[in-house]
Amino acid sequence: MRTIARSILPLMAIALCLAVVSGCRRTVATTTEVVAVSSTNVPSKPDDPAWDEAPEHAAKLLLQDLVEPRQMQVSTADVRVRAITNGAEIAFRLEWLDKTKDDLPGPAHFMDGCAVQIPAKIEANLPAPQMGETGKNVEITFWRADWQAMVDGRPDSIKERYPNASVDHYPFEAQSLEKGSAAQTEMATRYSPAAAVGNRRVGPRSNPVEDLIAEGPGTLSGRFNHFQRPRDEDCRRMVRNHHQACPGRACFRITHSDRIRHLGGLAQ
Amino acid sequence: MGEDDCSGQVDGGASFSMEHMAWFYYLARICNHCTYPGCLASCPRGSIYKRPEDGIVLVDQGRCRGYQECVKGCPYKKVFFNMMTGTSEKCIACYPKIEMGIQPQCFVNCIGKIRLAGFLSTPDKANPDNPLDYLVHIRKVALPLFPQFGLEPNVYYIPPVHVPQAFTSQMFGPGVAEAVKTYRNAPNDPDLSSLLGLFGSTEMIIPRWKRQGDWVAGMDEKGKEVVRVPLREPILIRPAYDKLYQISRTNCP
Ligand code: SF4
Ligand code: SF4
Repeated sequence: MRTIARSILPLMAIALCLAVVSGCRRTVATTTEVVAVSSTNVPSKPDDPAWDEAPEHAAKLLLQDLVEPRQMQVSTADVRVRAITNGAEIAFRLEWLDKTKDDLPGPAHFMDGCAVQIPAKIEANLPAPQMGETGKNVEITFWRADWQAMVDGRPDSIKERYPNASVDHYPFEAQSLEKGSAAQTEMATRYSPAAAVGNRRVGPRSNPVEDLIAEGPGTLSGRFNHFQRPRDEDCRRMVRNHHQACPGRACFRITHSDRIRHLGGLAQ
Repeated sequence: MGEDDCSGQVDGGASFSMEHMAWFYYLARICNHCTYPGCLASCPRGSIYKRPEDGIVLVDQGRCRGYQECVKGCPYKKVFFNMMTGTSEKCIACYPKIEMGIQPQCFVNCIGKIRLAGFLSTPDKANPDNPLDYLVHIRKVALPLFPQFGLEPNVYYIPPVHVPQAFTSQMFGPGVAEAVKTYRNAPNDPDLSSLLGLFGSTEMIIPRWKRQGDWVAGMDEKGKEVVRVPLREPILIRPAYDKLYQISRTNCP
């Protein structure tokens, strides 16, 4: 990954001409690696016109064939990446083809999600792309579609989350307990041990991403231990995300903004 | 089918015919806290661990990310994905109770008084004074469920006696015939029947037991008596009509 200045513009002009000829999807400049364009306008929405100025890199996704359960067939072949930086922040737009919108969790059902992974330290010998390696941490910003739905206003209720579920009684949802009261919170904690130790896999949230570190497969951890509940404002990275469905096919675009200091060694 | 709890034997017995006579039994299934847990092996994150001090297998609720590999990996289907927490959860063997020397809740709650929890020795160290060693290793009357899975499950069942053994031997292994024979003979076997009488007699874990004549005692590690029950509970016959309260009561035979 490297940043380039406005020298990208002539390329963009050619791309725009081609768009007129092809008619449907505008042809864009492509690069052999992710190239971050310098701009004072770091977009936070995937449909921001500023993205048109950034070249696109079609990143082939690697198989996870290191640890069980190995995935020997790709479900998504590649992800198209663009990047824009203002020198202090960097935004990535990830785009991939997806026939279905999966933003409801369930047994043996997994939601749409994606992540941007950056080496914790920029050095000549970069960590393995499969979640880093021992002594060579990677920092991961992970986005999940159900968290996004929650941030976008989907209520955190059993009915919304599991439309076909039939639930007799959850003590912490009981009418008799006033929402937010000490008794209700105590009940919710007791019956949601994961939430009680700060592992917020589901539930209300104001941030659709998770800030993680890893040093190899299976080591993925939150930046907080079990006894420190992470608060959204604690998250070191400023992450703004958005996704949208294009007509005819589901196309998710996610913007990650991160402080560029992590990429300092790569910027030219 | 052939009998009724309150009215006794039904004339003519079962009134339908099939490949075989109908039979059923209850099979209370909790996590087996296996010696070689399949759930633990299947978790790519190492979120499942077996406690060295008591062998209890737990899902770390702080580490689990809901990949549900353990749900697939447990052949006993004893890990469940909890959609309300987004993590996988399972029986915790009521570890806070075990830590206090108390039997787990589903053992204590059992109204049939047919469950007993404790610590089992390895077969080479079987101690006849330990109730579980006596039942599992010495009398071999309690058997593991689906031992052929190879996980060495740590819940042992006294197999149902009315079920065809072609069926139960698939579930509990080749020891079924002997176990059923031993169990059926319990009325003539004061040691075995007295130990069965200790089931459900106390909430405490009783690592030691001893029969003395018509009484059996459950004891702690040091041999201090925790509970004492008679070999035969006294039978009380209530008259069908209660003169005091002027009411009829139904007695089951
Ligand atoms: S029964 Fe299943 S959940 Fe319990 S320890 Fe064995 S493999 Fe794990
Ligand atoms: S009551 Fe305790 S031992 Fe029994 S199934 Fe539940 S957690 Fe497990």
